[in-house]
Amino acid sequence: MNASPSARLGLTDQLRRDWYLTRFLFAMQDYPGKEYKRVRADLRTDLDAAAADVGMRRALADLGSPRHLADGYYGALERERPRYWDGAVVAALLGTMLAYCFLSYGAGAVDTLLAQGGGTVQLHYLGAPLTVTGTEREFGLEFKFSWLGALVYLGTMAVGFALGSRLWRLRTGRSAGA
Amino acid sequence: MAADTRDPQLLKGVLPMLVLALLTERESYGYELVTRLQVDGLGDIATGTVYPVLARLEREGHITSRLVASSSGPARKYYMPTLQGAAELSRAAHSWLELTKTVAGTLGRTGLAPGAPYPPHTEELA
Repeated sequence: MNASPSARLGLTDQLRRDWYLTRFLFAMQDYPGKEYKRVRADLRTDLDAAAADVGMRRALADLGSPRHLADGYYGALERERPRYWDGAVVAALLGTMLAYCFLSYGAGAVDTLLAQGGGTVQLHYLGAPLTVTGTEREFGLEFKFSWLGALVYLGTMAVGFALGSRLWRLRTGRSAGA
Repeated sequence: MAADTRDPQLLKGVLPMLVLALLTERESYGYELVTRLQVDGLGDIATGTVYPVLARLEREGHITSRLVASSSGPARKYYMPTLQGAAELSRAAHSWLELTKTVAGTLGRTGLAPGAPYPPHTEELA
């Protein structure tokens, strides 16, 4: 090839195309890596060619949203694949929710202690020991590591990850391929 | 058939066959192929629908591609069917023609032949 296709595109068109490809990358997070590189290279070549025919704006409009296009590529796979990215998001949301519940639980305990005149109390949160202090001069939460607490916390996140990423598709794929 | 009444699932099933048929007629690059499909009557088909089909056909070895430099624009990736693709097209076309024969026979017998303005009401059928 004598000339780089990008060299023939204006800066604005290059930016439009690259922004679209970046959004496409996020939508294709769980696509097989090796195949994704080829798909992206093909898409880039086809986009440049289409832009020469009808302009980059029209070429991108004809492609539709990156998410919709990615759905098309996922649909063309021989079998459904787990969506690890979705699983990570669900796991992160669950982890954040548990942490929020921990803080709410601790704050509620401090509030109760203060209402009763102050003091220190030993509690448990998800199986982990928790020391709550609440006096007129200070208040605090002391959280100690415990295997049970870690197991419950990480286990909940792992279940969220498995459900969110549809991990059972791994097994379905193996069965189908057998 | 009007574009707004076409079943997307139906199109999804026959699109690989149509792509193979058009590429057998003449090799094309992606956007040109979409234009040819539109000219043939799929006026509402989007490039985003065709590109995944091309990727799948290439992955399965039914089509191959080559980059062609252009003096007036960027390089274009032209697709053409392989021998395996030609065999697949033959199989798919035979299967499709058999199916349409069956469908036409059934619809014709029940008064719903292609070209009929609308299906008869259930009261009329009763």
